[in-house]
Amino acid sequence: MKEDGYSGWWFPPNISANYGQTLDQGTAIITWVTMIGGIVVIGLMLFAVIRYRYRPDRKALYLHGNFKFETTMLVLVTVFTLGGEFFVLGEISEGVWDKIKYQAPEDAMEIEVLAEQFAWNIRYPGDDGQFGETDNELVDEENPFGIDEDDSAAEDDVVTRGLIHVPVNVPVKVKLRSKDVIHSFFIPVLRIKQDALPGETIDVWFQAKETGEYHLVCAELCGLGHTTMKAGFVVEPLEEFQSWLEEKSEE
Amino acid sequence: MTTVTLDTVQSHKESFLTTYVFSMDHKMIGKQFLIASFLMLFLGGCLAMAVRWQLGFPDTPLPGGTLLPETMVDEDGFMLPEFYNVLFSMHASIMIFFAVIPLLNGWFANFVLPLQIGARDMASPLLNMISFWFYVLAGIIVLSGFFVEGGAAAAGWTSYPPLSALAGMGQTLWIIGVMILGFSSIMGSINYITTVFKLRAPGMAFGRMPLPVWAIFITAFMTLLATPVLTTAMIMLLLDNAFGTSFFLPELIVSGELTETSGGKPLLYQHIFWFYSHPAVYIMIMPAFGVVSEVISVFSRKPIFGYKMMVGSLISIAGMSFIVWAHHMYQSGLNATAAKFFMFTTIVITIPPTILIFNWLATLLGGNIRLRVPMLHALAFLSMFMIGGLSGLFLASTYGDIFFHDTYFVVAHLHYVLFGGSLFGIFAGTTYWFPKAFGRMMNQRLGQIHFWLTLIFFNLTFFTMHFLGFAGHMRRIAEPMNYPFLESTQGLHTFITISALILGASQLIFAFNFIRSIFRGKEAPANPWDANTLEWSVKNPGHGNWGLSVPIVYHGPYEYSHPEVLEDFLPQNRHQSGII
Amino acid sequence: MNETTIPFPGEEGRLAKLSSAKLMMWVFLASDVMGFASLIAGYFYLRILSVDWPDSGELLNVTLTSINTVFLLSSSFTMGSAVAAIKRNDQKGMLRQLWLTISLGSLFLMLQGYEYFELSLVFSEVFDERPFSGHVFASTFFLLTGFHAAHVLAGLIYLGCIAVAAGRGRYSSENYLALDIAGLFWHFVDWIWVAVFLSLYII
Repeated sequence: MKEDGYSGWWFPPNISANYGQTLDQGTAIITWVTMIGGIVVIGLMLFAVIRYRYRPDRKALYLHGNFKFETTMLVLVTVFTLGGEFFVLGEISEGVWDKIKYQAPEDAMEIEVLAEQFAWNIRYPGDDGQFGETDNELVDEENPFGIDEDDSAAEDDVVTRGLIHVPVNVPVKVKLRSKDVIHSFFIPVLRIKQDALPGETIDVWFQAKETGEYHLVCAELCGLGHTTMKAGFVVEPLEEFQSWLEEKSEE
Repeated sequence: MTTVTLDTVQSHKESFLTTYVFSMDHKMIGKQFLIASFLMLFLGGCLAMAVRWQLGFPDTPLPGGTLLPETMVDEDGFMLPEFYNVLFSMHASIMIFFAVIPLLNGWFANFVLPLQIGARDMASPLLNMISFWFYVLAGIIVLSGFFVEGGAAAAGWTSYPPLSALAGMGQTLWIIGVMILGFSSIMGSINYITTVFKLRAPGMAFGRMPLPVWAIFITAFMTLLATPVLTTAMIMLLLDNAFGTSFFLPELIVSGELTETSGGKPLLYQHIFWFYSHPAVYIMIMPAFGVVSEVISVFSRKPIFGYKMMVGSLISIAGMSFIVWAHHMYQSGLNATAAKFFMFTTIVITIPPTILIFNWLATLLGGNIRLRVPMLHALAFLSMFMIGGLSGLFLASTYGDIFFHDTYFVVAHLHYVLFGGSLFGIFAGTTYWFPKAFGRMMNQRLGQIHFWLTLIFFNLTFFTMHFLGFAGHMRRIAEPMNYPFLESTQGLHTFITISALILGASQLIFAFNFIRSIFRGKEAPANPWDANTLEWSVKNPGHGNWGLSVPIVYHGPYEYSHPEVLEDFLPQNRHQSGII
Repeated sequence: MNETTIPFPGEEGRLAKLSSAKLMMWVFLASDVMGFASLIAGYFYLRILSVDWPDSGELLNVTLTSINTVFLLSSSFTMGSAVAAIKRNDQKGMLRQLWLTISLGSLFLMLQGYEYFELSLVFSEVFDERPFSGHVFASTFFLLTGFHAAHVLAGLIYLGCIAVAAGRGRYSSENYLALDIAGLFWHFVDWIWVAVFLSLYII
């Protein structure tokens, strides 16, 4: 699956319906601030080196410091930094971090993603909306989640490997797990990343606002196959998603 | 008490072994660290070239690849992914633990500290010598991983479990080696702290110490208090890796088999590891702050601007370095509110380095600047370190980091601070103190050529890399072309590789200059840079440094261009009334 | 300037009474505190987040170890007495207190060894025949106490060397720095045990 719109040196398309857009805005602000700051400092440095280059007939300015000037600078830097801090912690953080971590929509569609060396396994709860019970003892090649077939809730669970489909404009909550080592759930076009820790289930949610075929990749070194650990990530209209899900549940 | 003590020029007959191998003289130990660490720097650089080859020319086998064993390359000489993982892991581990830390805290600290405070040697020359040999032992152990089954460590320099706990002998050796390297660091820090407190020459009050001394001194506190935490992380990781425990391992299913581990927490390792490793990054830059402050002042012929605030900034960086560690863990499953706390502290810690940069600029403005080779490197440090610091702002916020974490943006950032910062600082200090260490001058012309090539190709290599980060390119990926969304990055990768190869080759000029100048450099006068600090007051410091009596210090080290002094400098041990 | 009248800053004020050697020991102990602190913090992290942490009161022999703690802390007092003795040039008193210290320290290690033996049987039963690695409770227990025991052992060897030198009349009221420094290390080993003991057995 190829992806368009990738220049290879600039940001991938941003199909995130909410916090992902704010994230890009925050990055843009930092880019401007750092560029201006950097140019000013390097400019001053170059200016100094040229304007005050060595001439044997003069001496440098004998100045150890200036208490008022230094204190003013310290205060200014502190105010600017802390001010930027509160802006960052307040405005933008609320728009992104708090949303991701504390404000997952209640009606989000839940899916389970289980990372392993070196593949992504996905489970959909099916019509009953319930995930079937699992047991680590039951895990094998055919049954990566270790689903207990005797559990009635497990009957309509759909498991895929290497492929996620989600409906567009629907919030999706991922229950992220890992079987073996630390992996990281990264979908560049959604601006979302979350490490998958063995022994934990971590929630992360998103909402895609454009259809298309993209990728889910692993962003934490997980062994020799880390470089191959990708899954297709398809965003499609709700009806197409549902018929895909039905197709998969018959397999 | 007062006066002269020690038999100095005295008479324990030194053999070749006790002069050059098992020396207890701080200057020789400093040089031992210098040589050994430069060799490791070279090795680390070669590993980086191999990494870049794979990324820049994925369709060309590694040069010399067919000579390597089949655990590393396939039959056509193409690198295997598992070997790629070894290469970047060992590159980083060697650079961090065996090049940058020992160059700053073994070469500079050892050579410069006693001289600049007017001491005859460290408080414990024996402990000093032992710390060097622990470093050597650690290096041998870590590198021996290349020769064991499964190859050397391949879990990244961060060595996160469960991956590192499940790994084989190469990883085990890495863990043990890093632990021993930690002991070497701690021994050094004990010596530096005690030496500064107890062995300063008469008149050398704390307020008259040159900034390299302050920097080394404050760094030693960070080393002292942070490194033991690395030791305990390694002990627990070793137990998990080799003795079946579960400090960091919950129940796992590996290759289809259920493990016997349970109850462990991978996140605990990250907390303990980063509690050390964040101060470690300041350990890897702070001595360079001191060196660069010195060089900028000397070559501007101007007092360092804001000495007290410089010292205050160094102290606050050291203190705050212990409360920012989890900004490396924002996306790791860390509690979301804890993450916000660390974002707050991370942003506050940007204030002191900003003061440092302003003070360096203020020192330059109004100066009488000579662009000698050490000064070129110091100016590169100022600008490149600043860029590295600015790129850190993208990573400092919990949410901004979501996109950039574990991408090439981080790789670009860390190389700006470690190469653009630490390494240029190391070049500045080494070219500056070379005449004192070896009694000869390095070649100016070669020094300039090396500098410009390094500066240009460093920026071409690593500035470009930020854009790979913008593209979302994950790090530690052996075959980026596996990912359709990364296909357009191949051009950038090849460009970066070519720049890196030239950057690497340019370092050979430095090596050549360095080695040649040791034997054939022009003889150096006692004070080639017209500097004020005590080390320049003696031509060839021998055993005990100062001959019959230690120098007496009459004023601070930054009396440059004083209006009442004839010359534009005034050595600390030369008295002139009215100047304190 | 008459150089014989300008003092070395390291010999002035509060630094005057602190020799380099003693300062080095203090500085080393600061790093050792961090090592113990990190292990104890790791222990509490695992314990708090654990879902099946056993009751330490049930598995460990709190009474025996409490008594053992008293022995170890007593050795801190005898060590202090040894230093006090040599300060008034009481060679016999110093030697007596020194060997008492070493005996109490050795007793501590022996009792701890006995406890280890007992516990490995208990842990074997409770943790699936794996007394060390079967549960994080066991691993943290042995790691923390073992790390401490290594320090006790090192301390005993250290004190032994000092005691031999003392027996040869090396120290006097004018010259007892080495004893003083060894005492500092020994006090640290004793009192850090309080933190370990409280964490593992009491809290």
